[in-house]
Amino acid sequence: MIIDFHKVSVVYNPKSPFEFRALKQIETSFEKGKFYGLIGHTGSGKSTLIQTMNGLILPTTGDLNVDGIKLSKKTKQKVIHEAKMKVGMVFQFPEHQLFESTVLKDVMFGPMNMGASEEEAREKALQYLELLRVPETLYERSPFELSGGQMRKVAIAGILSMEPDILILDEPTAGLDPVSHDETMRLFNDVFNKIDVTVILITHDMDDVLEYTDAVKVMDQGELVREGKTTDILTDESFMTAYNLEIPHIIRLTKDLEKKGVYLKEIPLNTKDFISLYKEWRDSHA
Amino acid sequence: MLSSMLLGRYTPGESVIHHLDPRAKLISVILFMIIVFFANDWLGYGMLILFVLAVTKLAGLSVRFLFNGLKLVLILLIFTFLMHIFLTKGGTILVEGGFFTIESNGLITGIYITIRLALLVVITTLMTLTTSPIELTDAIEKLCKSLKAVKIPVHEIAMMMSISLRFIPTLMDETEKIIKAQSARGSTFMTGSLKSRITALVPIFIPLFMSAFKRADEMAVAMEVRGYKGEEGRTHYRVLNWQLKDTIAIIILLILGLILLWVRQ
Repeated sequence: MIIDFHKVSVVYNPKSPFEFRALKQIETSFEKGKFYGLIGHTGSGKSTLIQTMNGLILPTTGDLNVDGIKLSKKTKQKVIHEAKMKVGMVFQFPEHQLFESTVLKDVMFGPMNMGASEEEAREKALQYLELLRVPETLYERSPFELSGGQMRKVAIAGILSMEPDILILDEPTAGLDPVSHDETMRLFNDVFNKIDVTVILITHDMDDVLEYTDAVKVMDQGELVREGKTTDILTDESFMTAYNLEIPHIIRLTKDLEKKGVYLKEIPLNTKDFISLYKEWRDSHA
Repeated sequence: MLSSMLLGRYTPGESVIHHLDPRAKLISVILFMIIVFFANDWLGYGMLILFVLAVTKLAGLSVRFLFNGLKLVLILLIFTFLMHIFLTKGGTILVEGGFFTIESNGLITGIYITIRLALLVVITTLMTLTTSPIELTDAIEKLCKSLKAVKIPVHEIAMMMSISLRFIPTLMDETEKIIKAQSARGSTFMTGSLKSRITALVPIFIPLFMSAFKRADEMAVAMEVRGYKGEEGRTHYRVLNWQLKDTIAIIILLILGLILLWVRQ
């Protein structure tokens, strides 16, 4: 287990009219090298949960263990800094964190903060800019001159270049057009396959959850209501509707087909999958 | 971190104080600011403190909540107190150090001035806590109407005020988000030397300014496309309504002022 939560609760503004219990006794764990989806309605506590993982928010009670680092209310800044180095976090609209004069320098910011020399930082920056397919001509440009999609890629490269063991993505595709959306998700999947990293993805897009994640954790009103294999949870129609979550389009289609007597051999994870499974069914029924 | 700050914040509520006309609240606060200076002995300050506590109670807020939200102001208060204790001379000498003396006048004025400042901060905070920024600027606009005669653009100033007030929480949230994003990238502004802490602010300020300018630009365009052209021909969505309770509030303050003048030594 790379992350272990032990009875973690978070209360915002305790003992004031703004008091809010964001997390209630969370008890869960994340396995190394898996791709997780974290889903739930707005305000269910997903963002708070991921922010406890790198010490941006400390538990009000309880504690958690992130790859050997224990985080609790009393944890010192120095230890929290270590946790931040292990956990890379891509926030919503990550392009808002760009500030340097050139793209390359901005990507180097993270590695430099980790104590890398300028040489090493440059090397890592180049490596990850290339991995995210940012054109070389942009490296010396100001990040503010780029298009929205490019800016986001640069910001993501800035986080990957720190080579975190755990990568947390908080709605990384919010506000992107459909083409950039698919491209970004595929890039994350490439990264996941290429480097040994545990990924936690927060998203409202159930199609992405189905296609990319191995396991899912569902949150509601600060509590973890269910966890398990992605396909088990996303196909459970009554559970999904009870928590106001949409069923992935492909699953909906498969279920509709079942009503017409078309039974696919397994659950398709994306359109391509669906086409080949459907072909198989047709061939066997021809 | 920033979210517990109460200066300029509004908490929605249904108390008597919340429902007073914003003009009445504004006038009352101004009156209170004058009245504070009438007090010059323990009795006077005691009455003022009781008055502020009563208003807090009426507004449905707890003293602890106010105290927690105004901790930052405490630094200012302590500083003022220390300045007076060391620098105001007169009366009997209480403590004699090598290069300084603490004299009784210093101690007493120190306490008085600190109470006075605290009262002013608390009463203005109570006003902003119980009055939404929109109501407040409406009140200012109405009260300053007569200044239009001398060509002061009252409406435009009020609009600028309400926009800036409106964006304080937005910018606070934005700042917190950027701080989080940069500290997740290993930026440290809590530790290290003064110089490294100051340079660590650059990654926060640049994105903050970028988004503030962008927001301002978008806002200006959005207002223009909806045909905003200043005050000309505008009516108000909320019409302020002066009621008996508002008059009573003002009268209470006037009475408080008179009593203080009377007990004043």
